[in-house]
Amino acid sequence: MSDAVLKASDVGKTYQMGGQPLTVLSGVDLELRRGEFVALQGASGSGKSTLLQLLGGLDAPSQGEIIFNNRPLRLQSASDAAIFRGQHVGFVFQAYHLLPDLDALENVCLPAQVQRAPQARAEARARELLAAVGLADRMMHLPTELSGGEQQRVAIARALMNEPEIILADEPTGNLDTGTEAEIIALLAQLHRERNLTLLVATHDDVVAAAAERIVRLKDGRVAD
Amino acid sequence: MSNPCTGFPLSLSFAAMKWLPFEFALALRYLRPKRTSVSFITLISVVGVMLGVAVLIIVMSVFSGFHLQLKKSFFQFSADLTVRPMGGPIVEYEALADRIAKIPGVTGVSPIIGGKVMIETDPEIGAPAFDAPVLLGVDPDRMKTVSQVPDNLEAGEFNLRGNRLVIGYNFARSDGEFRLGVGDRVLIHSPKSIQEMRESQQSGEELGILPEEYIVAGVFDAGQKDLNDFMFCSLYNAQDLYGLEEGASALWVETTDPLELGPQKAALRKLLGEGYRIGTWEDLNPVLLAQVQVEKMINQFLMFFIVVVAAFGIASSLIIFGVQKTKEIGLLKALGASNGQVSFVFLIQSAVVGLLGTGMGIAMGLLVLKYRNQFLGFLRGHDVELFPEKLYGFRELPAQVVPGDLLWVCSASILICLLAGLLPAWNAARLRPVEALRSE
Repeated sequence: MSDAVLKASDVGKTYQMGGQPLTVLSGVDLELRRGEFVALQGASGSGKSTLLQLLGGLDAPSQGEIIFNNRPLRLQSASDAAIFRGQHVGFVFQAYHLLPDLDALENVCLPAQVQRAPQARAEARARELLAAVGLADRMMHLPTELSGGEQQRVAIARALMNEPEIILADEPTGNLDTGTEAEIIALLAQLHRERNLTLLVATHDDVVAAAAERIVRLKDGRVAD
Repeated sequence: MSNPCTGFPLSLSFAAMKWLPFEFALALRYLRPKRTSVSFITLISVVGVMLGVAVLIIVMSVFSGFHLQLKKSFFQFSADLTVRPMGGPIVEYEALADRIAKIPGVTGVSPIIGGKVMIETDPEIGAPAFDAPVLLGVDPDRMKTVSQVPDNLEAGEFNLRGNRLVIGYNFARSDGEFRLGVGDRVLIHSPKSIQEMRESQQSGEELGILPEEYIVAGVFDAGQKDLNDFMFCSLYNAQDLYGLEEGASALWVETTDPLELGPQKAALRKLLGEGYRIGTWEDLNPVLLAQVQVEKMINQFLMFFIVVVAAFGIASSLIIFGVQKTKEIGLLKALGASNGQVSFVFLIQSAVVGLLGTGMGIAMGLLVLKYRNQFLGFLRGHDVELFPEKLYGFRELPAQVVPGDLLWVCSASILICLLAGLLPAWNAARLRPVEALRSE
């Protein structure tokens, strides 16, 4: 049996744009092994984000299948997809997507609350995660009171909240300056090492990709050889 | 009190709401964001519902009070039942009254003679005023067993001895045409005397019959404009004025419960047979009673639209809110929130707005009702007359809070607010996470 946590097998995605089909991904094969840090690199429009969305259950492929823990991922309903995302996947987005009305601690607690986890346990873990990303003294701050780098650290802590089997990060340093970018990359690499995270980071940036153990390149919707 | 974990007021803290599902906590946070003391949209929505509910409660209670006051003034003024013979007067009214008094539930019986007369005032200064009111001839002692008029006089006493009159408040008003007071003289032309004069003219005689001279002994206020147009004299004088000799035109029968007259009516019917007509206090002015009931329903219907408009306000603000929060909805879904959980955030918001608005509306409505007359008095002092007495017939604005009406208003308001949240909730539920996260 393969050690792959997540696998894309001949995956394709075609959108209908103005009545015309637009193929974004076609015949993509990708394997993500447990504890692996993989960079998904490609130019803008190469299909990186789309592939991450398909792998994370945010969208369904038009062709092929996603295999999760050696079983085809059959998300028959929106509810199935929500359960899969909530229990097995952690997302980190380029725009952080923190809820502006919640402070850092509440934002990190949110995935556990969605899963109806006991509050006390969720809060203890959120505190531990915020401390791990270097924000022990910023827990009560609203996103507007945090810098971009700090917001992304909160988002990373939030992605780890439910102890997902995979972290999917879409251009996590895309909105950050060079110095902060290096800090976030270092943090991801550190968390990967310390917690044996399975990490797939979509990026167009060579510096980010260099931190990964393996690089998969996408070009025109296909994995480049 | 602050939560040590999160540092904001316990009542609004996520951590403090351990017993609440996250949808509730998030909905409450959206309604009262941490960044501001209260969401302006929330405030507008709550105020809209509050005003709608308050106005509805005020209008319904005033109409209920108006109706109740009207009914009360009717059955306090007259007896609950009136027994009237089909033809001619009741000659042996004393004997008949004794028999009726034995019916279970009957508490008093009084003979009465009623009809219109022409009156003329006799002022010391100025021209006399004329009117044709209904003059009721009653036995003062028996009258006290069937009516509350003798016990509720504005001035003077219920003394009908000799040529004494007790007049309704309309004839005594300082701003009225007659301005009569206790001790003033009133000249009464009876139908009998007018008829006699006409007959004498026809037969070639020039018979002049002078009007009867009466003195005002008391002024009553029945609490309702139409009822204050009546006058009372003694039964003996009325017999003379209407030419009834020893008879009475009807019997007033008082019962224990004016709102449940069925058993007494049936017993009277059995006792009297078909020769008598049995009326109720409602016959004093059935049109007015029905009119008030209809007006209450019409107003209720119209005012209900205020709540509907407020609900549209909630719906539109939640739809705008949903658009503003599209990315957050997408994020919640990315974090594993189901469509149902996301919908609930919106439904809870509309429910909370509905509950808050309805609660505050009830409080505001009851407060306004409590101080309604002070408020109207204040406006009157500034020459603003919202409820002119001449038009509505009441000196004070009546109100009755009916628990059933309150329940109806509350249920309808909360239900409408919940319905208002359905569309935004459905919009949020059907958002695809990928599109929501991509939205600008």
